[in-house]
Amino acid sequence: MVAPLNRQRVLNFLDAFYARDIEGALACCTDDVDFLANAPIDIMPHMGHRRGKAEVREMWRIIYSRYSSMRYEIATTVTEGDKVAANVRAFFRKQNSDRTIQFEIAVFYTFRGGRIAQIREVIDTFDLVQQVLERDVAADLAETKPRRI
Amino acid sequence: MIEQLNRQRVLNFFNAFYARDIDGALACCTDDVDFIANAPIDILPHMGHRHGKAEVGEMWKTVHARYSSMRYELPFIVAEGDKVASLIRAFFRKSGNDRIVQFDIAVFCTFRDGRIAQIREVIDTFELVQQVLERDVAADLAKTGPGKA
Repeated sequence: MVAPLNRQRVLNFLDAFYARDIEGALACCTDDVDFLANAPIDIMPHMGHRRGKAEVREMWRIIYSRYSSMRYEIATTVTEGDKVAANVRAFFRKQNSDRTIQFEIAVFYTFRGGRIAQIREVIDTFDLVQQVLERDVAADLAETKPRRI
Repeated sequence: MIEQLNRQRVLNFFNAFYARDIDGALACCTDDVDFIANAPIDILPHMGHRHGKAEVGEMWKTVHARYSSMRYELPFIVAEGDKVASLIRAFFRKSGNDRIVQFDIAVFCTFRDGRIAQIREVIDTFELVQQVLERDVAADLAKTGPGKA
């Protein structure tokens, strides 16, 4: 059945990406792979919408240049037909400071012809930004927020 | 098949919640339902970890009090065994000024005996906070943060 195959393909893709094997990760994708991970691009200009292997490769190169090592843990995967969803805990070690940031990513994959054609990520971006900038942004904003939210 | 049943149960749950039917949404859950949605609790104190119908119901009441109407779009849903994963685009209309907040939520539901026993959400929290506070937080931080993220 295709579902267990696609689940394994996602694991192979994640293993390659977190091992910093860009070409191995891209080999798991279609040539027109469509990647979308919303993030504040003023702070993380390399994120956002990327189309095709060249653009995705460039985005990943930037990530690798900023983090010396990466690993992941999978909390859950849900697989059905050509779709796989994964809840991933990511750990990235910063190049400059050796600090490790950890954050949650929900990833939704769509397959075509045995390769990943679409990657859609939802990231706990506030937590990510706080750790990347090493600032307690929540505390800063809480002092100035409106009374009711 | 169980997957089709559970997918429909999740749709019923979303429809109830977004129709502001708290009791209807809670009826889809086990009594000990476990809910986690990481968010900056300094800014969104009602979010976080909630356990049991009373706590989850209280959280939803807070959300419903702050938004006069809500709707959602569902670009992705997968079901496997007792698990369903969904990618939601949520639209909340603020009670105070009628402005609409829209953001992505990844929802991972785990079923037990036909009811949702666990809900794990991953939210694009930076985007959510910006819209809730009606502030360009990214621009503010980009002026004062490190050059690269």
